[in-house]
Amino acid sequence: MSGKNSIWPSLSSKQVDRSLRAHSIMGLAISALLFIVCLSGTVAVFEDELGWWELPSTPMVTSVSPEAAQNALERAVAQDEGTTHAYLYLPRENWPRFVVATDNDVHAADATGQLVGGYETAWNDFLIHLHYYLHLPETFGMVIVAILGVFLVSMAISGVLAHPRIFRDAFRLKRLGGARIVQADLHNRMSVWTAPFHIIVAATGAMIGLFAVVAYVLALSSFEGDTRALSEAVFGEEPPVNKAPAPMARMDTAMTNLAGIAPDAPAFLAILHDPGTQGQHIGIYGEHMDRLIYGETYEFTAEGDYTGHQGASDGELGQQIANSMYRAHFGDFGSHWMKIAYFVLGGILCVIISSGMNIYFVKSAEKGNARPRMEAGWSGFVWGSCCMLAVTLALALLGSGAGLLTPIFWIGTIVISLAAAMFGQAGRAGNVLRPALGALLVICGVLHISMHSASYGNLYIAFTTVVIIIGGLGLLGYGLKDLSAIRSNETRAA
Amino acid sequence: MSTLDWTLAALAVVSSLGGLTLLFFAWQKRQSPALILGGWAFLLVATALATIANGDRGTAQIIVVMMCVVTALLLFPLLRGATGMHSGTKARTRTNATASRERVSAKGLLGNIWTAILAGPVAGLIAIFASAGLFRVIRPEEGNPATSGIIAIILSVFLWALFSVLMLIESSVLQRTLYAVVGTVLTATLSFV
Repeated sequence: MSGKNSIWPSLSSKQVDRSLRAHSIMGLAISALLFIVCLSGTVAVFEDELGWWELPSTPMVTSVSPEAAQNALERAVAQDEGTTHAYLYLPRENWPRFVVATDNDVHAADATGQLVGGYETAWNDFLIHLHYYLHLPETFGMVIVAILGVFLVSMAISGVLAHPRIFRDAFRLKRLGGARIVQADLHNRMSVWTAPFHIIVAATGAMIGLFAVVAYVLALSSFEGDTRALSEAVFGEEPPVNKAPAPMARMDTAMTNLAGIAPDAPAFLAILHDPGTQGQHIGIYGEHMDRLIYGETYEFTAEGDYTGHQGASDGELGQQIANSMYRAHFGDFGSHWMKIAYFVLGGILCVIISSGMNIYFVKSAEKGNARPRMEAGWSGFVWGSCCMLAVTLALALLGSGAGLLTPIFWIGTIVISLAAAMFGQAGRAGNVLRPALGALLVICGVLHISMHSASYGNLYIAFTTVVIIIGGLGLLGYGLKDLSAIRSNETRAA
Repeated sequence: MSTLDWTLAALAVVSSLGGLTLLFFAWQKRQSPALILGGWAFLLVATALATIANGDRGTAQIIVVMMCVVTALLLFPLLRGATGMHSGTKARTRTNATASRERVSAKGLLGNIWTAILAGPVAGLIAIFASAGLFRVIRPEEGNPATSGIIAIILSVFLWALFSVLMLIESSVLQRTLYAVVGTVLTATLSFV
């Protein structure tokens, strides 16, 4: 296919050069933080599974009766008097647990509604806080992460503009030859074929994070500053608060009524607003298995009488789109297979970011401007952050709280990166840190077995450990093979 | 999902594999619009079948399947090994000219910071103002503004991304600044006046 026959508008070489420059500048400016957000997001795809693995004593619950839900609700609210909300996380097909939360407590419950212990998962909380906020103050951090999402979309746009042959070379992937060609082919092919994934993930992440900011400007320009007008139109209106005391709401009646109203939408989250007050009301999320929406909210009075649904499944298109962002972002729309696919695609996005920087280093070297220290530092950052995730997991298994994991992760990642830059040769950091990551994962698995052996009757827990250990052994074996090949090459050269 | 839905989903997967195969042959042979059209037609059919089988969740699922299939096929040969980062790189010797190009003057540094401000927050401001302006135009006088609001929010993200790229593509700092000022004034007027 010649350039003249292409259906794509052609850009002059000057425009292509400028686009490539824009793509490079943006990549250099944001790659490190973007890599951390993508890496943590990739692992966070399995946050539910890892949360259970971290706290395997949580009993397996496959269904909860309305009476058990009522029991659990009353017990949880009694333990946190004055709470403004109570959340019942009900078991679903790929999440067989029952967790109850109030403003200040999170409890695991059994199938009868007895609260059987706390549900603190320090590493999971640390991971989610890293992905959502980069461990910054929440409002500020969410906006920063959202802006990184915007720039990832920018990178996709500038990438397409900078590579006029990107569709023509759609299937070309050279694995042998010059390092620049191999890295560029890997970067470009993966970018093109997974573009729907990274554009959707970046855009939904950006929209979730920037919703409040943009809605505020829309409110200023169109609703005389009333910020609730748009959010209530999208997410529904809250009834007025009435703090006068009242008997506890009937969650059991609401759940029984829901089974009749929406039999094909199994309840997975029930929220009681303002428990024990005259203004209390219930919202129950039912999962619509053929929709991307997070769930339809069915609303009930304190007595459990149905009052209507929010409209996420059949309301305004805008409501449906807004309610679809969470599942589209986290890949929670089709059992574990979609999660595995999202994990793989997330890993590929990390490779795309990493190889983008590699291309920059190879090009710099070819131009006589090699940056071996910076390259080693980048490699140390990439593999060091992976290693520090495993280190923090091991520390959390040993009982460390989320507050301590945060400085350990960042200081560790920066120290490894600086050490690689100061002492390492370009490329050597990765060769050393890959097997180290493998060894750390194996240690996490072994540590878990030794500390929670009583929970290994639960196949979910056993399977998760097996996957972590096999992954670790794979990295360890592959990394050691690489290291020994390098050593023998060096010996031969000497 | 019913048996019919599962059958449709299976057909969607087969159709997507067929479409990707045709596109691969089109890429190999070049100059074959029939193969390209056929490939995309199969992919469209696959998407439609998946949507019928499982709603918008089916659409998302088939797109994920397609991405994973191609990626796996492309990456599979890499298991046999690939050129490392430091093989075959023809590193040139560092020259005085290269070293002097590397030094960034104070003016250059300020220029870079200014560019970052224009491509980041200022581009964002223009995008959000533009979306707010559009929202004023498309929102219904009465009734639920959810759809127009969500369109405005989605647009703000993509416009911000686009304006950032355009700011960086422009080589002259002065012109970049001019575009930013004009863009901010125009979109602020559109959204607030």
